[in-house]
Amino acid sequence: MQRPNPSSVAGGYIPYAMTYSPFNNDSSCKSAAQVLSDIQIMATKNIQSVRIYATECDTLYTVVAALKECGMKLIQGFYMTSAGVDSIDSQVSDFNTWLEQDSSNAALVEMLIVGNEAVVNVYVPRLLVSEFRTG
Amino acid sequence: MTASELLSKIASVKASVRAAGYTGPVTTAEPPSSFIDNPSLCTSSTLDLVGINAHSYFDPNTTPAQCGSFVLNQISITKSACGGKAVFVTESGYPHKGITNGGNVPSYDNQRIALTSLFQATQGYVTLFTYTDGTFTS
Repeated sequence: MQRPNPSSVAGGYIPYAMTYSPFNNDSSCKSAAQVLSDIQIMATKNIQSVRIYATECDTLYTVVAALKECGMKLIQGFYMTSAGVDSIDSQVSDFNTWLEQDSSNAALVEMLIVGNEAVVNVYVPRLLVSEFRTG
Repeated sequence: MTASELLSKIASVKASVRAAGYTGPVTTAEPPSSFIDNPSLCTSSTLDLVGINAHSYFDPNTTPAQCGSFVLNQISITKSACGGKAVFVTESGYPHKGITNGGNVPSYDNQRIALTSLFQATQGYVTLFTYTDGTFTS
């Protein structure tokens, strides 16, 4: 079956941003080289910004390095679990540490997203999410 | 968690990242219903803009060709509930695989129809959910 190519479906428009997960299908973390390859593909499509949901898999060092190389921006999330609002604290700490390591880092960040569907919580049934995310 | 718990956490995170040198916008991502049901979450100055996840697939009363108009309407009703604050689409997209939901039948053809409609309606100003190699490589 023919998959849509964004450059042909966009009607002249490019999606401004795209969500990205740093995991392989077996749930292991993608390597920095794999991440760079993915981000470079997005760059060739002129996507401007990449949304990451958390700081796992050292994304502040793998994804960010790739974004810097490609001249793109970061939309950084802190993923809040049902454990409560403080479940993001280690991610905030990761982010602040990264900010303080290089004064130019802050300018790479286009937006911070604190929590994803944390209030609605059970909006999307798990089965649908897993099927949705395959595509 | 409740909207007020989330809002107070966002305020605390914002203070923390500001102290560490980040001066850009801070928000959260919810379906529009969360903001419509809890307008204080988005009318508060703690949120610099409003982030919405908007997926027409989950509305059984839509078809793939209505994806773009659905998302525009989600932006509009959120903006109204949030006192006119700017709304950014933090997720939108369309599945090629999965169960049928009313007028939404996942397939590559319908994904193409839906994304064309989405990009035309929003001039591409959305966050596309989600990257996979397969999205681009064939």
